[in-house]
Order: sequence, then C-alpha cells, then structure tokens
Amino acid sequence: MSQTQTVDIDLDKGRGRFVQAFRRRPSILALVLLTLALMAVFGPMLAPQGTGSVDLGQAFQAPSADYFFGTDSSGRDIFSRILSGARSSLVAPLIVTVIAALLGTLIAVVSAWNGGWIDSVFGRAVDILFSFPGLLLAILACAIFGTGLTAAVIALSIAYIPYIARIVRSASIREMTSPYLEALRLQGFSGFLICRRHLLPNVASVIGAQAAITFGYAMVDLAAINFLGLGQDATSPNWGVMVASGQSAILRGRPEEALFAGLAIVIAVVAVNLLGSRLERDASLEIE
Amino acid sequence: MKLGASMKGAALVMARRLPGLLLTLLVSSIFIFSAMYLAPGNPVSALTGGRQVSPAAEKALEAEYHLNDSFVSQYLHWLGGAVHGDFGTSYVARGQSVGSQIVDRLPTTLLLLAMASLAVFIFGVLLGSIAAIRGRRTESVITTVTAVGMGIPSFVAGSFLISFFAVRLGWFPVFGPGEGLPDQIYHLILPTIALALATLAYVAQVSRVAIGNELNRDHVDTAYARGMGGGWVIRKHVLRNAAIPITTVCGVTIAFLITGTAVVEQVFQLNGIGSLLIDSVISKDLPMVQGICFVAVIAIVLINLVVDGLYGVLDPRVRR
Amino acid sequence: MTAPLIQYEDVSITLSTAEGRGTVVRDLDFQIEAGESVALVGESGSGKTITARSMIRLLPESARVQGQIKFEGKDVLQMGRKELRDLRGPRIGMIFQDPKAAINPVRTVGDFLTERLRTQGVGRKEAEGRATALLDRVGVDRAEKRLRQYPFEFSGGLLQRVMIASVLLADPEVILADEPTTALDVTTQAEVMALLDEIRKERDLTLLMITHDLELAAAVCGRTLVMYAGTIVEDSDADLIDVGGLHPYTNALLESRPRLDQKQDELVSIPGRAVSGLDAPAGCPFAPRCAFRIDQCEAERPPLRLLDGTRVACIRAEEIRGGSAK
Repeated sequence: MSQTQTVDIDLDKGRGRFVQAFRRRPSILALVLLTLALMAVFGPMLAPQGTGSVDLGQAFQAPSADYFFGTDSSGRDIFSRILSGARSSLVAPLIVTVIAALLGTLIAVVSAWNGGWIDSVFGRAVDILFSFPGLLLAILACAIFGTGLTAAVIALSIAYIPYIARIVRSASIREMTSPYLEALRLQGFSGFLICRRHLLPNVASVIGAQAAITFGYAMVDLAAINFLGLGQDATSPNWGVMVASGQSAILRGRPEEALFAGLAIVIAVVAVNLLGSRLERDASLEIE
Repeated sequence: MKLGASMKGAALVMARRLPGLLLTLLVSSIFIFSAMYLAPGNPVSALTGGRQVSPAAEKALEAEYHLNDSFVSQYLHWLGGAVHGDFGTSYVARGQSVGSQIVDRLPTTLLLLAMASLAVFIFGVLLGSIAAIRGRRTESVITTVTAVGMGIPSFVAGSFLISFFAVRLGWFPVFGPGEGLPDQIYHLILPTIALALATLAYVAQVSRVAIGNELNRDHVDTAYARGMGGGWVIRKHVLRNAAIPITTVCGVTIAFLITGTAVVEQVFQLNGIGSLLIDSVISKDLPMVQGICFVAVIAIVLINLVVDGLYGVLDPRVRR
Repeated sequence: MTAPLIQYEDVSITLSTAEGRGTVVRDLDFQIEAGESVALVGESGSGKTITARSMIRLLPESARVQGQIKFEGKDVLQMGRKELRDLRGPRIGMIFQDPKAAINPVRTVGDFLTERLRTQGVGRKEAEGRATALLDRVGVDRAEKRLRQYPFEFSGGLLQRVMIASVLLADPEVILADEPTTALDVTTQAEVMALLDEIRKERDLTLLMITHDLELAAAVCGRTLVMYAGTIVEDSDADLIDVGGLHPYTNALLESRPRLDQKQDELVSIPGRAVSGLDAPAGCPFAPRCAFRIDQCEAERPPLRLLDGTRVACIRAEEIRGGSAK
C-alpha cells in the first residue's frame, strides 16, 4: 500500500505564527509591547502636561500626583515628555528595521536562489559590512552628511543588513532543499514568483524574529546617536536626548529625567528582545 | 611540538583570511577617504567644516590634499600618509596634526578598552558557565538577568552608575580620567561597568548556550565513563571545546566595545579617542573624523585577524 | 560457590520526561559471572543502553535507580565519587557506539589515550609508550605518528580501534560495549568484532555487549539477554540462531532477520511498533504484538522463570515450545 506524501504549502504560516505569539497567553510581554505601540501613536495627545511648557518655578519637583516622574531642570513634566517622546524614540528604529529587513531579505533570497557569482559577490559585501558596528557607521554618516536623524537612519539600515541577510539566506537555502520548490521551478514558474509566493512565506517567521532583534539594536544605537547630540535637537522629548539633557541634573542629585528616560529605553529594548527570542524559538521549532 | 603545530595552524588560518580582511580594509579606507566628496558642498568646505576660508588657506588645503589631482592619486596620497599615521592637519583645530592628537588621547581609551574586554570575557564566560552547569533554577535566573542586561545601553547604565555610586554614595569620582595608573584605573571603574554591561550579558548568553551544548556531547560522556573527575572534564573537555563558538563572537564583541567608547567617554567626560571623535563630528572637523575612523577600522581588522588565529589554535579541524 | 561478578537485583530506573517521571527499565534481575560474555539484545527503546550504563552509574541527571547493582558484592549505586572513579576505567571499561562523536575532536589521539593514565600519576613518556604499544596491538599502524594526529584524520574503523585501545589501557576486568560496530561499514565491523573477541579471550575479560544484531550476539557471546520495553524477556545461553528462543519476542526477532540463504517473497516483520519502557502497558509488554496472546497475558506482568536452563518471561512458554499453542 503506497502512501502519497501531501505537501503543505501554508502561505499564512509566517503571519500566523506572529499572531500566535500573542494569542498564547495574555502575557506581560504582549501588554508591554502594546503599551509602547499605543504610546508611539497617541503619546503626545495623552500627555497631561504637554511637552514644552517651561516653568522654571516648577523646576526639579519630586514625583507627585501632578508630575508622575517629577520635573526636569526647566520645570517640564517628565512623564508627559516621555509619553510625547515615544513617537520619535520608537518610530525611527522601526524605519531602520523595515528598511534593513526589506533589503536584507532581498539580498538573501536573491543570493540563495541564484547562487554562483551573485551569491559570492553579495556574500563578500555582506562580510565586509559585518565587521563594522552600526553605531560607527552612523557616526561617520553624521560627520559626512550632517546631524539629524536622516543620515543615521540610513547608515544603520545599511549596517544591519548583514545580520538579517545572513540568517535569512541560510533559512532560504534550507527551505530550497524541499522538493516542492524544485518541482515548481521545473513546471516553468519564474523564480520571482516562486520566491514571492512560496519561499518567502515559509521563511517569514525567521525574518520576523530577526526583525525584532534588529529593532532592539536600532533603538539602542539611535538612542545613543540622540544622546550624543548627533540626532534630534536638544529640546525634543526624544528619550535619548532626555538622558543627555538630564546629565547635569544628576550632578545636582536630581536624576529623574535621565533615569526615567533611560528606563523607558531599557523597557522597550528588553521587551523587543524577548519578543525576538520567542519568535526565534518558534521559528526553529518549525524547522524540526 | 604540539605548540608548534598549533602555531602553524594559527598562521595558516590567518593567512587564509588575510585577503578578505585586506579587501575590507581597502573598501572601508576608500569610503572614509571619499568623505570629503560625499559631503554636500565641495571638498574644501568639507575639510573646513563650512567655515570661512581665506584664499591663501584654501590654496594650502588644496596643496596638502592634492585636490587638483585625480581621485585615485589623491586616495593613494592619503592612504600613504595614513599608513604612517599621518592624516594631515586639522584646519578646525588650527593646523594641529591629526595623528598627534590621536596618539595623545589613545592611552585612556586603550586602558578603558582593556578593562572592559577583561570584564566582558572573564565575567561573561563565568556567568555563562554557572548558568549552564548549575540546575534549572540558577539557569533561568541568569538567563533573565542577562536578557535584561543586554537591553541596557551604556549611557543609561552610566547615568545610573554616576547618580548612585558617584553622586549619592560618593564611592567613585564622577568625571575625568585620573593621573597615574592606579588612579586612572580607579576612575575608569564606573565607565568600564557602563561599557561592558550589555556586552557582558551577551557573552554570558553565548557562553551558556555553547557550554550547555558541549555538556551534552558524547565525548564528555566518554570522559566520565573512563573515570575522569568532574573538574578535569569541565576544564579540559567542556570549556576547552566551548571556547570555539565563544571565540567566534570575540571579534564582533570587541568591535562593539571600541565603538562604545565614543558614548561612554562622553558620559564620563574622559579625554579619549571616543570623545575626540564626537567632538570632531560636532565641530565638523572632517580630517580628524577620517583619521579616527581609519584607526578604528584598522583596529577592528587586526582584532579579527588575531581572533581567527586563535580559532586556528583552538580548533584543529579548520587547519586543513 | 563464588558470588557472581555482577549482580542486578530488582533494578528499576526512572527518568524525568516531558510528561513527568517515567519508568524506562523495571525489575531487572540478572547476574554475570567473571569471564562470561553476554549480549544484551533489543530494539531501540528496550532499555538496553541505560541498563549497561547503569553498571557504572553513567546516567542522566534526572535518573533515579531502585534496587541494587553489585560489582564484586559492592553496590555501585552507593559508591562515593572517588570509589566510582576508581571503578570506571580500571575495573569496568566502556566502548561507545560512534567513535567520531565519542572522542574529543579538538584534542590529539595521544591526549585521549594517555589522559586517564596521567590522572593516575603515570608520566607522559611512560603513558605514551604504553599507548603506542596498545595501538600496535589493536592494529593501528605507525602508532607513534598517530598519537600526534587528530580524530578527524582517522577512519571510523581505525578510530574504534583507538577507542578499544583506550579502554584496554586502563586494564579493566569488564568491558561494556555499546553497539561497538553499528556505526561502521560491514567489512570493518567484522574486523573490529574479531579484534574484540580476540582480546577478550586473551585477557579473560567479562564482556557485556549491547546490540540489536542477533547474529553478532551469537558469534561472540555465550549468553543472550533479550530485552523488550524495559524488561528482560529471555535470558538464555543456548545458541538462539540454531535452536530458537522460548519467548515469542525472541523468535519474532529471529524470524524477521532478512535471510541471505533462502528466497523470501516478503520480508517478515513484527506487526505493530516497538514500545519503550515509558509506554509499556500493564501486563506483558509484548502482548499487544504477540501472536500467542491470551487474556491473561495482559492482566499481569509475567515473571522471569526458569525453564530448561533458560529464564523466560512468558506464561505460555511451555505450550509454545511444545507446539501446542495458537
């Protein structure tokens, strides 16, 4: 009695698993990530005290009912500023992640599918890029193209390509050993179509995991750029900038601005890292 | 005789990797050099940071950087100088030699890097091995702690350390690099912790996984089955073998530390190369930035080479 | 009447699994005299490997053992760490299945061989001398040069010889061999097996060999312990290949060997799937797949009992042997 092996082409596998990561339990992680997302979208509107109301009379207030995290050296409410700053602190890394993921996946899939000299050239380029930490390239980019986030965002997007490309490439190669892809190729479908409709969805979980991890790096590096004064200007409520402007207050025994902004950064990065490792685990279970 | 074989193996691996690393050096140096052309405006304005320049000064700059020659010849002139540590003079810093400034500020950064690297690898591997060898409870505690640690950027850690240990408790000085070696080390303790923290957590994770994997290997079973003692097996078989995947992340880790000095030196106001880099970016001193980036690239490439050599010593399988 | 060298009394081993604690072997009861060569035969999941490893207490962290495992009258399970270390190697040596995985790939073969001796205080030169001599004995050529080489420079068969040499270096009285030739190709298998047999006779060693290959067992060992789902179902010193066994499982195994001397229309296999100790049902573990099953078989576990010089765990063994069973 013969058994035909049914081949399961699950187009929604990638997407489904991402959602599944949330559905499993109403976990603290999901809650934190949701809060961050809401802050990024609605932050400025929810801030009780607005962002720029300077009132030197209220400088350095301790945390209270009016000012949850206290006030900074200019009398601005730290809690409001953190809420308003969520957008610029979270959206820029998101842009970096999206660009890096798109380009990285493109390079990875093209390399994996075509092999040969294309793979070698891309591989070599990726190797060279790998040697350099993103922050270094971002600083250099700021030196060349001027301060402000644009240069840094582009530089970081390029710098993170290798991390994504390398992993997506090996996942693609693994996926390509499945006979069904070869069968499709023999049937005459174009490489482009096969990759888009069949290869990509199956490596989507890997891409998702790497994207989450990349978001973490991007947040840290961009916060550093902002901290160094190479990014947004010193009055914006961006979290990295706030840590910088809070430095002098530390010396006067009022670390609230720097520490609460720093805490916001840490919570966001840790949450995203945990999401990334959970997705990574799910992706590797898929392979088994 | 076995040491000789290991050394030979290391040399073999390094020689194999050399062409790739040289290519990396070439590509990055071209990119760094091209900075003045990539920047908006003309090369002269890039070199002067957009400042007003007298015609005489402009002529001098053109001569110094051979701006009227072809691109390739300019690059070669620059590279030739760079290899000797001569990166030209900084217009912004009133004609001071870039190279001498870098040399002046090198020691602080080197000391910081040395301390941070030691901290990262010694404590990182230690933490990872404890997590891998002890029971489940210890492992999950350490895993959670390192997961959080990895998310703490150096400037956040630095801010906290200053506010708590320096300002509130007064145990450490807040700023400055100190005078004389012991004092310098004392001053660099908080900066080292800030710089090393996230990276240490990462190395701990990597070590935990590597050592955990190695503990499950058959050859470890064999060693126990022959009556080898626990300590011996851990040292000579588990750790020795796990060192291989751990070495793999060495290069990336140190490169990360090098870059991190730029941030940490700002937080603690240390006069090292990192802060020199940031100051130069802000004052638009392009030659200085180019010089520092080039030095950083060379350092990273050299370290990668050494790490590969180490790899060759540790893993005889890659030697053939 | 001397006490047996090795004695297992009511040994049961449990492990921690995803579903909680499970029993992998239960109620093991057997003895091995000095100088005997015993084969431990069974399919994967039968518990044969963990049984052999329990002799030197080489068990996973979560394993709990009940009963007594006695070597020369001393209970291995009660031994302190030092005693256990003195047992492993100098008294009982173990040969592992896959030499490429079982020998540290990043250290030289010389290191591997001399390691144990060095911890016993033997000097390097002396240890290397002994290693070289033994490599010669097991048929590894250019032994001195080989000491400086790494495992990846050896073929599977050669490496298994190295493993045998390493075990012999400690001069044990007992050798545990865990499927020593399974990872090798057929011709090499024969060579290595012959070597092992030769050495066993030469040094008058006691051998416990784990295998799934009945013919190999018959060729080298005088006694066979057949295990299924964590229990011993037959303990026989008869020549099973010629005479057959008493337990239905033993005979099913014998039947299912592909034959080279006769034409077969169909390959015989035992219906159903092999079961591990963890999933063993109540009653006789083989009952669900047994052609001679009756209701009573599934009611309670048949004890190992003596029948014509063989111990067998089957309530219908007499009938089956006499041919009067369905």
